[in-house]
Amino acid sequence: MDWKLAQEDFRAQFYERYRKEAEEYDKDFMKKHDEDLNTTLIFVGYANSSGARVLTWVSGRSVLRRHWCLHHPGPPSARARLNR
Amino acid sequence: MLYKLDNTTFGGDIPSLPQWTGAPHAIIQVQAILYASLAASVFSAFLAMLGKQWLNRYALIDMRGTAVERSQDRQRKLDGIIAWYFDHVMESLPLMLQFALLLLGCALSRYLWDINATVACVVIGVTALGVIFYTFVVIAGTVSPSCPYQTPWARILRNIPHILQYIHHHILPTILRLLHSAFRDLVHKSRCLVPFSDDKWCEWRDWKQTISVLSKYILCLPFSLACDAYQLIRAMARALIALACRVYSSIRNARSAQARGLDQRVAALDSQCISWILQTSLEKDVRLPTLKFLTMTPTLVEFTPALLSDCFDILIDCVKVNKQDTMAVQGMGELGEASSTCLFLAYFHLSITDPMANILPGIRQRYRRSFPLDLDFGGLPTLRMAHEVIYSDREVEAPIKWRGYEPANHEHIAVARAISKLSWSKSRSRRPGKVPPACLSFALHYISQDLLPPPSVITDCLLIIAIDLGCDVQENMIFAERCVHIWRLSTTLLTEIQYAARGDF
Repeated sequence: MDWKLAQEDFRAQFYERYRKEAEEYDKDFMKKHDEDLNTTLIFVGYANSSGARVLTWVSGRSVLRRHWCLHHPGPPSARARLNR
Repeated sequence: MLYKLDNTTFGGDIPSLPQWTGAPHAIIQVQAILYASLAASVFSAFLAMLGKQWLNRYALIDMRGTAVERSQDRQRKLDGIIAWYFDHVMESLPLMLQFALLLLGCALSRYLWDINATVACVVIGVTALGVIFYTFVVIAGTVSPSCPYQTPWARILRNIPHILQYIHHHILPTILRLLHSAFRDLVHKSRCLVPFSDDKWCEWRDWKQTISVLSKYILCLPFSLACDAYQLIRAMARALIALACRVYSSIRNARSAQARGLDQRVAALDSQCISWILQTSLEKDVRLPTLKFLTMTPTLVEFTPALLSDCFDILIDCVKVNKQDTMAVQGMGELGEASSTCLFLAYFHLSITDPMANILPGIRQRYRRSFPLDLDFGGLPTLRMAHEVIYSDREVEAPIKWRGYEPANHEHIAVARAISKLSWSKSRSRRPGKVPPACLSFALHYISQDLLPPPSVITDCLLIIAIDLGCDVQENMIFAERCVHIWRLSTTLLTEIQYAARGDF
């Protein structure tokens, strides 16, 4: 019985120390990853905007324009020229 | 083609060939690369958002339960983060972005090349410079681990030799063995088909015989294929049945584990928490109570093997070897003693429960490098016991001094129990009924003290003496609950003592 009580006592002491250590560790862990992810998201924002801008610029003759009709019309098709 | 075959169909008009009116091929290539770049960066943004959610979930603490349960829950989540390579996933995000950037540079270079070569050269130059710089950084990081320009690629490349070594030592021999056995089977089957003796097998060059053998072999093929198919189906059925059995047994085990209570799971989490805190903290005030708590777990149920390495690392920090003597570093005596006790308990426990554990050879090698065979352990008798266990293949003659070793009751109980187990297992391999002198001196020292140790320690001391006297001490008396068998032991010991007394008179 004494053994069990002593074990519980040691266990409680150990977990008290564990809690303090874990709190400190988790704070650092969260901060580090949060900062990393924020940096990634900021960089992704720049990369996406510049990539999309270049894509719009290049897409004067986009392969998707026939479906999306987002860009200015390209040169008339052969059929249109034939009809003309 | 129609015009070529019959040019009267079109009258006087010469039809013109239809022209490709879509975007030029270069533009398609550029757009494909740009879309790939965009997709990579959008995907990394998606992962980053998920990462934020995962982190929030990790930080979320259950508001119910005791402080111990909350700590164990947190440890469980942290173990999951390590087991599921969370850090690697997070590290892959910058890699994806770098890849997206490279694709953007390539696409821009390709696009500008058709428009203006001079402008394109500038972009190509900058992109190439970036690629060269990154390559240099990766190479530098790979070659020198102390280089500050470390990247995930450098770590991957540094690990390649280890992976190759693992393949060379573990995977390749297995494959070769399988191929060898398959080839041997094939040769054996072929020989069975050919009515030759072993000597005539070499005279296979005769083409008629070769053709007859081959024709026989080909004729046997459908039957062999059918046999193989049958074997395959049977093996698959067996595998399915085995899988079903395993699932059933795991469900049954889970239920029985639930029925047994949470003790084992709790013990496993305790062990993981201890291991984590020993790895994380370098403070003596944290490590010492942690090691003391470790000695409180008498049977080390659900033991985490990493604990062994942690204990050894602490021991190395606390104990130094000076010629033939071992001594504790100043101010680290208590920690050195606790770590040596834990090393002894953990190593001995693991060598009994899982002698093939991967960690054991590494620890043995490191220990032997740090502590040669003939050493004087002075005030660290538990380290001397660890020495006895780790040098199990050799006779250790180093002296042991139990005088002055007065641990707390819990530590004493755990050490005594381990020593009695060690005595029993050693008495099986040594001369029958003889225990190592270090173990016997432990029993004699503590049983002959004025202030007797706890009853459990007395039991272990009696067991050690009984083993040394050659009494019939069964395995379950050592490893199971001793209280059930102790009356048998006391009877045996009493008989032994009476017999010895009669002999003396």
